[in-house]
Amino acid sequence: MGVIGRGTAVVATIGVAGLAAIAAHTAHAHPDDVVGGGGTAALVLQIAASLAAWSAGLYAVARLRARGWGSLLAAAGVAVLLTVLATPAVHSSAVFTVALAGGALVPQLAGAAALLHAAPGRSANLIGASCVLVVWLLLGVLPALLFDPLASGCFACASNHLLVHADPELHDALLRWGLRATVVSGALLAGVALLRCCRSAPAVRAVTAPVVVAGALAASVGAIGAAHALAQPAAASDPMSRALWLAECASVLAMSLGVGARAATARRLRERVADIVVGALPDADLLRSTLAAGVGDARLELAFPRHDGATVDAVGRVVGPPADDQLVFAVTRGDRVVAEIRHDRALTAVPERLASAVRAAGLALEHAASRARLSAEVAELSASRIRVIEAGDSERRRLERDLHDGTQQQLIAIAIAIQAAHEETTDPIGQEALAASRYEVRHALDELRTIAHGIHPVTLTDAGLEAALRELAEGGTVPVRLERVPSRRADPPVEAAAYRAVADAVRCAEQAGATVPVRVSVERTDVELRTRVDVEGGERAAYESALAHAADRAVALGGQVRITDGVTIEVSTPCAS
Amino acid sequence: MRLVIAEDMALMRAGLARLLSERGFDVMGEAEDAAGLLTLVERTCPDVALIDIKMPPTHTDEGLRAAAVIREQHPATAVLLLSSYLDSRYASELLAQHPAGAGYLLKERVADPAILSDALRRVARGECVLDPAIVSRLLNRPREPGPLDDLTAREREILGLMAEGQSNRAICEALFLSPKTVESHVRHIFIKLGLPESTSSSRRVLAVLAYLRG
Repeated sequence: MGVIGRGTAVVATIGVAGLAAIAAHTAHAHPDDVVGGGGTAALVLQIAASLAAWSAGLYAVARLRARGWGSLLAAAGVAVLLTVLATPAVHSSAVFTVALAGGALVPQLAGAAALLHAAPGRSANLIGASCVLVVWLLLGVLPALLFDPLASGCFACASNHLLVHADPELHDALLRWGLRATVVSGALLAGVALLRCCRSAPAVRAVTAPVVVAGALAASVGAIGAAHALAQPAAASDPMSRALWLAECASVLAMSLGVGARAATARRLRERVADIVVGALPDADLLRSTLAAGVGDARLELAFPRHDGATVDAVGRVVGPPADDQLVFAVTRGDRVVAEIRHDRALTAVPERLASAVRAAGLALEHAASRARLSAEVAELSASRIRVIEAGDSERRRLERDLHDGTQQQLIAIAIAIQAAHEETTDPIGQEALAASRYEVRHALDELRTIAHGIHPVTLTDAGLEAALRELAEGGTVPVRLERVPSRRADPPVEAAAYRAVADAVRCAEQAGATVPVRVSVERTDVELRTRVDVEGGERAAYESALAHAADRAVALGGQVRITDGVTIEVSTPCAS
Repeated sequence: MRLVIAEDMALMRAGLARLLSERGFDVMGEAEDAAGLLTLVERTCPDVALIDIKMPPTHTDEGLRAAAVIREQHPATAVLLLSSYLDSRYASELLAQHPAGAGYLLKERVADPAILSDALRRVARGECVLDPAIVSRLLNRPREPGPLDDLTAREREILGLMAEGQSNRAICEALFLSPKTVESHVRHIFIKLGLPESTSSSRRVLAVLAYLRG
């Protein structure tokens, strides 16, 4: 319980409950001898007020960290019982003694609790404590020291253990002073508490007002009751004092209910904040499982309409229509469908569950819907970028094939024809001309091969990255050391991205006149293909511009190209293992 | 010499047939794809099959696979593959599997009847042939410093000829050297490169090719 031990609280509560039982029994057995009378309603009110005040006090001490007014309120609850028990009908001398010394404190305890609740602080502590103390001394302890039940003519009373010296006159005088103190301190506490409450900040006032007003009322009613008693010739229990006492009990009960309301308000607020927090951090999976558990349909699904009319899941993938045994609950914003909840047909029997779950999940659902649409758009965008690259690649492959299968074959046919003509002709000038033509055609064939290879490296598509890199290492003017290249094939776009980066880096190194071998290593992890190229020679900026296209490819595939000084080029592209 | 031609381009096929007939080759038949080629070989049992590596349907390495089948099922038929690519991959694949009686030339060699008929004769004799352009590219590729740098110009020349599949005798004739000189050069080359010496020229090609590609 924080401020006080849990064990102590439990033992004390058992004690209070026992006291309440004795009070209830006494009031029931001797209705004429108790302050509130023996009526059931009155009895219930008194017991309820005492137990409620006790519980609210403990709650305040434990949960609201309000040690001051919490203990005062709990004490007021006990004081209510003691006031009931300050009667000759009590048989136990111990209980009677305690009741004599501790009863009649309800207005001051409740008033002080209200004051501290309105504005905790030194002055409130001081006022509250002195009011309680003065009234306790004048009305409780000091008279008890002088009160001899027998001498006062109360033969039925239990004995008073506190009796030091029987002095009925002084005892009566003290009681009258005590009652006067009750009037003054009750009014003071009520007034100051209400004043402090009015002066506090609106947000605080909204929370504290019910408790403060009820406490002030208890103190005021107590003061009136004391004034009424002063006006009476003897301590008699007339209907007026009884009514005032019950009003006091009602005020204490109201005060306790105020504390309970405060707790309930806090709980509601917490739930609201939790909702907002959940709404701010929506995880579609969590949202789905929360809703599924909430309405009791494990197969519940969330789907979100996309701008083009298709329906997507939380990560933007297009999903099909709901299952046959599922119905769609449309979550709308204005006239727009934000999300679809696909649920079991059986749930229509309890429509309020789905409706309330959706109301609670509103913000989070909308957020999830936005994210789903965004994911779908991002996925569509990257798919379209990959399609653009693949279309370019297939166009390059087609061009390369056209060159090899068309142009090259024609050139070779021409070369054959020239050769045949060369063999047939005997004219030396003609032979020379044909030899020159043959040379030109061969040159054209060489160039064509280079161009075709530049357009598309056939080896890459036919045999994969390893073979293509080997081929790259065979040509060119700078040594290329393939340190490690997996021979297993990856997706063509992934291989092409890695190849393009290495080829561009090697070409850039050649242009920079590099002589130190270019080191290439390719590693395939579970999730990506990692290519690393180390070159010496040339500036980093040159590589950055040479690899711009390769970087575009990698990025389109969800990967990246990083170039660091040295120069080291790292390409990573996601690829399924 | 009896030969068959497998080539999917009609123009090229006709040109080749004419050219080779004029050179004294006995063209037994022509095929336009791998299946046709295999039937043709089955039927005519030629000395050599001249095969374009790219044929229908995929236009990748149908010719190469058909050549492997021929070498296995018809050992008497040698194969000479024609390719558009300078890349040494297909060549080393072919020669690794069937080092004897197999050759690999660039397609444009068909316009050079001397080289083409020489290659056809050599594969028919059971030798192996590798296009000089491919060898030269391998030999002259940029590489890190190593034993190849220790070879003399003459030894490099001889290494290139060995890689092309030339026998010692052919090297002698090409370089106007005595057999003893060539043998001694060859021995030096193998020692310098740390390769096991082999008398068979086809095994020798493989070793050299593997070294140069490595």
